[in-house]
Amino acid sequence: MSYREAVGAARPGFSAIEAVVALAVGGMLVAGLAATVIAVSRLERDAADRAEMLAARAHAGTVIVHELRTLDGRRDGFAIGGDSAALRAFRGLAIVCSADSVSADVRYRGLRAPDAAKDSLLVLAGGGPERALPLTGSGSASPSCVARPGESALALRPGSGLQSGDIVLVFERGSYHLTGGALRYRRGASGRQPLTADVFLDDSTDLAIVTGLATTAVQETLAVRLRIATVPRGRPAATHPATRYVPLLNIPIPLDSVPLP
Amino acid sequence: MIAGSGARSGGFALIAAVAALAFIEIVAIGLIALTARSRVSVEEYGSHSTARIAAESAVRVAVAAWDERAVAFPRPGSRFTVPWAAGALPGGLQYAVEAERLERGRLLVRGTAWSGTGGTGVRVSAVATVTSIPSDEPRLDFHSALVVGGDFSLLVGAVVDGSSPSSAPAPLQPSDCVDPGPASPLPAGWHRPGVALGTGATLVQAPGSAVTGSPGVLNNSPRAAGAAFGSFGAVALTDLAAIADRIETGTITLGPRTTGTACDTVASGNWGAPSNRSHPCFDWLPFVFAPGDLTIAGGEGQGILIVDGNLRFAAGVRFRGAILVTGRFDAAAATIDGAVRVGGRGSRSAAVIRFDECSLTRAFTLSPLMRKVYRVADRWWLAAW
Repeated sequence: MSYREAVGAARPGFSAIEAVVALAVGGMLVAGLAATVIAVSRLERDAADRAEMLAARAHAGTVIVHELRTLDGRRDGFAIGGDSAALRAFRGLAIVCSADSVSADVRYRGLRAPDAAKDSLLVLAGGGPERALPLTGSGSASPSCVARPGESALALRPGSGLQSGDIVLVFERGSYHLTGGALRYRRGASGRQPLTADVFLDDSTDLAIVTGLATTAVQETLAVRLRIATVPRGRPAATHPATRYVPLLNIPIPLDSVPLP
Repeated sequence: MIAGSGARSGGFALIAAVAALAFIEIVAIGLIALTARSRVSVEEYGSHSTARIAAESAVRVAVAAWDERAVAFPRPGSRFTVPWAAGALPGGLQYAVEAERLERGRLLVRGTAWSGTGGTGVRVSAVATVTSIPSDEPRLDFHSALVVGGDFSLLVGAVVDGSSPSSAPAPLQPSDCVDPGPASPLPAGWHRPGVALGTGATLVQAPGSAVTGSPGVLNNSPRAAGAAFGSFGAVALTDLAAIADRIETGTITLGPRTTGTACDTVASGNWGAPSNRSHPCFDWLPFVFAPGDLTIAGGEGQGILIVDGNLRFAAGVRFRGAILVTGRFDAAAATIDGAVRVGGRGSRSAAVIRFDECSLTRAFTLSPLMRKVYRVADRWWLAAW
C-alpha cells in the first residue's frame, strides 16, 4: 500500500470544519497575493512615472544648459523669463579657409548642416565688433579646404565678404517653452514641438534671469534659473520640484567673483 | 477515487501559487528594469554635467598656463595638443585640450572630456577663442628712437640716437638678442629715424641737444598719428589694464629684488636687472601698465612700459625696452635704450634715448604678457559640438 492510499484510507472524506479552514486559509492566501500583486503593480507604475519624470527633467536640463551656457546675455537672449526663452539657437561653428566677396569655404562642425531657409551667420572677425549676416546658400567647398575629423568642408554664401580665419557661428532664431507640461521648441514662426514627455507642472516650472552688478552700474545677466516641477500621472498632489542655475560663461566679469543666489 | 481527489486539489494550489509567483516575478523584473532606467538617466545626466565642467575647466587650465614660447605652432591653421591640460579624473573621466592657430593672433581652444571607449560613454566639448598679442604690429610702432604725436622739446644735453648699435650693448650679448619668432619684424635695411613726428607734431631742439638717425627727423609718420597712441598694436589700453604683469601709479624707485636666489617678480619696483647678467632678475622684463601719472624717482628697469597719463623720469634713471606714453613725458638726465612713443603735448627731455633693437627684442619676447593668451571680447566661449 502506498503512502497516499494509506492516507486516503485513514481519511475517508472532508469535514465541514476542514472545508471552512481550507477556504479561510485559501482566501487569506489569495487576498495576500492579490494585495502583493496590486502593491507591486503600483510600485512599478510609480517607478515608470519616476523614470519618465527623471528622464524628462534631465533632458530639459541638458537642452537648456547647452543652449544658454555660451550665450552672450546682452546679444543673444532676446527674451528670457516666465515660461519661455527666445534666443539665438546656435547650430554650428565654422572656420573660414578662404573667401571671396560672394562665397567662403569653411570647415564646419555642428548639430546639423547649415540651411539657408533657417539659418543666419554671426561672424567673429577678431579685433572688431561681431556682425550678423544672412545665409543665402551653401554647397561643397573646394578641395583646398580640408576638413578634419568631425568636420565637413562646406561653401557658405553670406550676405557680404568673410576673411580667412574668421569664426562663423551658424544660428537660427528659436524659442523654448515650458508649457503644456513639457519643454517645447519653436523655430521662427513654426509650431511648438515637444522635446520631453508632458510631466511638468506648468505653475511651478519657469525660467528667470539672475542679474548682478557689473563693472558699471548696468545690470548684467549672470545666469538663468531653471525651475522644473514634475508631477506623476494620476497623482497631481505629489510634485517633485527641482531648481538649477545655468551660469552664463560670456559675461564681462569673472564668473567666480560673483556669488550666485 | 479519493487518491485522485487529493492529487487534483494539491495540483491546483501549486499551479496557482506558481502563477502568482511568476506574475510577481515578472513585475519585479520590470520594476528592477525601470529602476535601472531611472538610475541610468540620473547617472547620464550627472556624467554629462561632470564632463561639461571638466571640459570647460581644461580650457581654463590651458589658457591660464599658456606660454607662446613653449608652443611651436605659429602658422595659421596649425594645431597644438596642450600637454598641461590633459589627464584623467577619478571615475574614469578623461580630458584633453587642443588649440588651433587662426589668423591675426587668435586661437581656438577646444577642451574635450569623455568616459568609456568606442563611444560607449559621454563625450562633451567646450570651445573658447582667445588672442595672443602678435609682437610684430606693436613693435613696428617702435621704429624710431623717439616717436612723437604732440610737441616735444629736447633740452640741453638731450640725445636722441636712431642708429642702432652694430652689436649688443653691454652687458647684453648677441645670444640675448635672438628673436625666437618666425622672423624679425624689422626688415633688413630698415631706416631708423632719430625722431618720427606725426602730422602736426613739433620738435624743438635746444642748443646742446643732439638728434641722429636716418633721417634725423622723419615728418608725417603714419605710426605717429594721434590715434596710434591709444592702443598697443591691436589691443586697447583698457584691455591692457586687465592683463598687464604689473600695475603702477604714483612715484616709485626701481631696483631688482630677490627672494633667496630667485627673482622676486611681485616685489614693488622690481622691473628686472638690465645691467647685471648674473642677477636672477636679468631675464625678468615685466609688462607694466600705469593707468595714471607715474614718476620714476630712480633706479633701473627693463621691459615694456605703457603709461596712460604723464610719465616723469628723474635724473639717473636707466631703462631698457619700450615706452608708450599717452600724455606728457618729462625726463631729466636719464638713459633709455630701446624706443619711446609719446602722444601728449608739452613733453620735455634731457635724457639720452638710444634706439636699441636688442633691448626691444628682449622686451617683446621675454615679457610674460607677450607670451600669454587672453580674452578680448565678451563672447569668448562658443557653442561646441
